[in-house]
Amino acid sequence: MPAFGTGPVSAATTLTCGESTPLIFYSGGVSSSGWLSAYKTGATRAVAAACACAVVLSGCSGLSKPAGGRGAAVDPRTGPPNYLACLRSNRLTVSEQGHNTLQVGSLPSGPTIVFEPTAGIAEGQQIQGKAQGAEVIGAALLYPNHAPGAQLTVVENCLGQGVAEPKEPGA
Amino acid sequence: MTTVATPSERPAGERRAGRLRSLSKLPNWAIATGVLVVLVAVSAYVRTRALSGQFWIDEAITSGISTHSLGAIPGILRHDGNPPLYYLLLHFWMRAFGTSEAATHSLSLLFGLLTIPVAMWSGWSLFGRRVGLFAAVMFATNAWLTQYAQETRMYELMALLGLIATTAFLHGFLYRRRRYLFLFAVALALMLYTHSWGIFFFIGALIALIPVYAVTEDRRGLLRDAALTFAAAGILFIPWIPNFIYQATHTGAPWSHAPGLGTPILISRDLLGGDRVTIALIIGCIAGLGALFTRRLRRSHDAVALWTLIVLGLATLLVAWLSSQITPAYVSRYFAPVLPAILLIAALGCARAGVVGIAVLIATVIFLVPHPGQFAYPIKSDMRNVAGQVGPLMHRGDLVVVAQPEQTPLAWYYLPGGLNYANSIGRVSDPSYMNWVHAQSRLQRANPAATLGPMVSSLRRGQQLLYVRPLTEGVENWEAPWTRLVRRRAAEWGALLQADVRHGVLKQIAWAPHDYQEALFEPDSAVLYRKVS
Repeated sequence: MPAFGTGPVSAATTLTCGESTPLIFYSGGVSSSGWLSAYKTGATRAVAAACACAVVLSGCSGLSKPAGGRGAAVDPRTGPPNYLACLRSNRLTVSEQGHNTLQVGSLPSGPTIVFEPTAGIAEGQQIQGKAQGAEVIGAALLYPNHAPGAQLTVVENCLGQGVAEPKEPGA
Repeated sequence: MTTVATPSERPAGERRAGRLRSLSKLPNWAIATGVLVVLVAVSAYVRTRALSGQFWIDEAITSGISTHSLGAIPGILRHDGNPPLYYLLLHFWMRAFGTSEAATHSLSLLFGLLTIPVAMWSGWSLFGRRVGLFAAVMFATNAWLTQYAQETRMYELMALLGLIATTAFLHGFLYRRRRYLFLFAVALALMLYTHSWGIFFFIGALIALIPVYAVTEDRRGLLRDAALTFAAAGILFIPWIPNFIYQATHTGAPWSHAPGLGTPILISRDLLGGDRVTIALIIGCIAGLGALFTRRLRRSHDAVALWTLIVLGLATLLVAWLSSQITPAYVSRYFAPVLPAILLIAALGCARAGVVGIAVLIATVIFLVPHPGQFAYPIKSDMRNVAGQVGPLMHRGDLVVVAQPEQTPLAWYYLPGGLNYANSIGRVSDPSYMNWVHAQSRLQRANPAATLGPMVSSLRRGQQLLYVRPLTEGVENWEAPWTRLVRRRAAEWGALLQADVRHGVLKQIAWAPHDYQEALFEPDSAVLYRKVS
């Protein structure tokens, strides 16, 4: 693990072996006699040792990256925005299904929410008649099923968080 | 020996000054005509970049209503919520020039171009030649006027009438040129017959009498004239009052919200054309009008006229804003009655600001003229495209079901003839207009299964059903009670149709649009089904 921790900012400020400039020690042109010579040799060694320590501390000792990689999956349901938390904070019973679906209450009456990767894909599903039973709200397809209006309003409001407005012409 | 320089030997600066002197000797009519020709030509170019752009909901409803006979239009408008003047004018216009988008937009363009000479007359007659020229430039390039000159709605007419009424108000009440009172009464009455915001202007104009009353030496005469003038406008409006009361109690704008405090942003963005123009005009106004607030000038004619214009605009907006807290009707396209006051203030300010004012005017023109497309978008909806793709697949007697009821006239305008129409409220006998009477409660009551079931049953095998539903992009457009219910109903109807496909009753044949371009107002998608059993 790099000495300055993980994460994009730390990684960006940490020199790794592959990226670092080679250390060059100049020995030519220095007097090789007397205490000065001994001092210089000692000083050179000290500098070299300090540099080696710095290199080790800066992470060059850990050449291998974490076995699981550094990726971190974003769950569309917990965001941000955290739709799941929003729904639960409104006292709705919500269960997670699969990797992109939320079920509010239970079928057949509870609404089902499917998160598509982008709003454009959700819209495309509607255009092609593949999501006729859904309300498209941003990237979410909300299937009302037989949910009461008040419950649907809460769900619609939660799903409306973070949805970008259509771009105005000229903007 | 003294020598006299020949004209060619004079310094360049002197020659220019000479030319300016000779220009200033031109008669006023020649200057006015020359400037107007140039401004109208430039404005006509700028305001026709999207002349053949496709209709959106309101335009389709407007042209649909105007296709009816003159006698029928007032009755149909009881279901719509607007006064009749523009619809009647459009009726004649369409008889002469056709019903295409470009033809109907041209009527608005005409009103928009007419504001230029009227603005010159207004500024010139109220404050002098310089203000008249500045006002003409501002009306010729204004972003709001550019946008609605290419829209088949009454807004451009309303702005023209508002400009006439505002000018006549100042002449008649402030400068006591009483012959203008007649003009004011007629213009005010026509505004009442053009758009519901005419009422807000009526009240705003009454409130704007306060600064005039404060400075006039003939308060009794002012009150008498005001009573007679406003009463005359009111009397002229009496024939429409029964319809107005019916509309007020039965229709509304359930698609709209009660407004917040964003009016300055609406004015800057939509009326003036953006922050750059707004800032430039504010600089011009501060430079030119600042002196009118000093002790020496604050009771001058220009100062009182300025205050009157400010009160007229603000009071109209305030009354509309307050009214919209109860019945929402507060969107920037309705701001036509206050636009003249705003632009006249700007023209007065810039004209008094010397070289700063000229710089502001040039900057405004540079900001507005070279980019007309940003104020008039040709793709207001995508229904023309949708209809172009699925229309050829449809046959006489097929059924078109529109999930958003007010889009029915739009579908009717673009789809071929001979089709039957329904929306999520039920069957539609006349798809050329939207029946807004208790629309919210009717949509609420219309059970999707009970409404759609008989429609599908009534289709013969082989007949088709086109389901048109809105693309619910964004959130803001879908938060009002009406639009929220529309979005929900569209999904519920879609689910029923999907179930019919699963049960082998319907088969999906086609969908549209295949090449969706972002549309400005509530675009649609459509799926065509054929009954197979």
